[in-house]
Amino acid sequence: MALKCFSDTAYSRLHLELSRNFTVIRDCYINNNQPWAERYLQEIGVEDSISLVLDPYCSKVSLKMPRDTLSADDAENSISFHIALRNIISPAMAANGKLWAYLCNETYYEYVSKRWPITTTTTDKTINKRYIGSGSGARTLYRNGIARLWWFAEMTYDKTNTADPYGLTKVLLRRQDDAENFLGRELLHNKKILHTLLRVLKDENPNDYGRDVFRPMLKDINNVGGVSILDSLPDEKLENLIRRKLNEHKNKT
Amino acid sequence: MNKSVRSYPYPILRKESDDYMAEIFSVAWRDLPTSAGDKTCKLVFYITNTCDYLKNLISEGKAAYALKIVCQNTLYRDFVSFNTEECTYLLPFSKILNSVIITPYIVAMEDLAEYQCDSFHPDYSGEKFSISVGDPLGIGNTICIDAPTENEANKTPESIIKYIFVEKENNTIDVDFSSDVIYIRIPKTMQSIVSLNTPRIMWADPTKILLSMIVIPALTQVLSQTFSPEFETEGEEEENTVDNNNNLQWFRVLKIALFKHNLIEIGDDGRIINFESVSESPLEAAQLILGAPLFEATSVLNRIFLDSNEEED
Repeated sequence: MALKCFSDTAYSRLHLELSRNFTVIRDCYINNNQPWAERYLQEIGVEDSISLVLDPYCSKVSLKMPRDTLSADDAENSISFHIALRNIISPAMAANGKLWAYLCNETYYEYVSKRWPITTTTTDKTINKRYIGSGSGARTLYRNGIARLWWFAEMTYDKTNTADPYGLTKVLLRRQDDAENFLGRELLHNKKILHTLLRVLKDENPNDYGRDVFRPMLKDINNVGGVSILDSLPDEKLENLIRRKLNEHKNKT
Repeated sequence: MNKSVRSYPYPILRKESDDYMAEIFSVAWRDLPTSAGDKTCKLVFYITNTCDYLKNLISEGKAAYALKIVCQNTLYRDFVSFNTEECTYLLPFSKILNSVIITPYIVAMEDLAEYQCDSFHPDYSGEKFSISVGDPLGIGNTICIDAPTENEANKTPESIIKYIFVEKENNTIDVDFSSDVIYIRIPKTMQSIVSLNTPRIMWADPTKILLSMIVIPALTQVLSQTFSPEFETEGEEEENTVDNNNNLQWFRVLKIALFKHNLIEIGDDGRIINFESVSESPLEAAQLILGAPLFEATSVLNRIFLDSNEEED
């Protein structure tokens, strides 16, 4: 398998096709079990659909196909994907939407099409979000069907925990909603804050902090970070603050 | 007192507010030149802080200068604190893209029960504030820089060549330069001998031998096929097509290396206008840009043979 990127032309044409010929594109996703985008682009006259081959000898990562609970294997897939590509893809490369769009629509199409199956009720926004992406920015990275696997593990990889460096990845991906909420907040892009938060949550039963606790808690921590510089807090103070906020919101419900 | 920008319940030293009278906190920066193989860009920050009260807090360790470094494209966010008026920060090329935003702070490093300064605006006169660790005391000018990228001019030709071990029945190497780096495909049977981690054998550096045996023939083929006379133009109007490879990193790095050795000429528009020396003798060009490893390897082998003869004697 080669690690490739769509060219600028192919990538912008995919966006254009999605907005102009939405039903055609949606039907392509519905009717094709096999990758179709590169072939489709060639048929509409995009000759150079690949701009860059990052690594022609990269092994394809064997991802677990989604089961009844679609997110059940997210953590395992995220970890195995990151282990395989950690030394090949740098964060600067991994910010490239064209790479992820290619991987979603070609290399890992089978996985993505099972993880986010497209139906006649699927909107163009969902296709864009999971299969193509808007090109840059954090949102694309943690919502794209394949990029998210890499980024979730990259942000939570804890080299200080030699026994289980991906232990925090498992905590992050206990619930998909939590994971996207985490990376949606710039404050938590500081790995020290993110890792401390996950270490606190690791000791908690996920059933004890539902969406009604989790979201307001993150918002509250974010608000504190709007005044105080949480990045500068000593580890112990940071952990105490997070623990206090979690308990406050748990007690409210 | 100007309240339009006030969002903190205590005075903060910053340009946009007059919480502090006639005091300045600002930060200038510059980047230092990088060397071959550097994985980081060195940024130096110079602090201007005219407030003696804050300077004292910093020297006592109760406060510190700090920088928050963010690249939104790559989710990079780092925070460093220091107590000197000059700070060097190493920004990793591989973790940033397009732009980086740096916000300087003066931040409380411990709780301050009686935060009070003579330079406060008269409206705060005599007031004491309770400050918690992590609270900002000063906010400097936001710095937005274009994300530096690894300087290809500093890259060595070896850095854009990778080895890949493949199943090959005929025990020969070949080269694939269709992607961003040059892959030398080596039979798996040779893997134990050809290892990038090959240790030095006493004084002998075996990389020179490997460069000679494996890299030179591969690079010669790349140069021969890339700088072939068939890509040259006959008329004056047309441009040669050698530069069509410019989207590939290995080509850009080789182009710079060849130029440094006067093996090609580059026009004002950055395109190659003459590559006759390379097309005439790609083998010689390959040796020159790799630092004449054949010569070095011969010396190494010569010493090995001499030493083994001496041992036998």
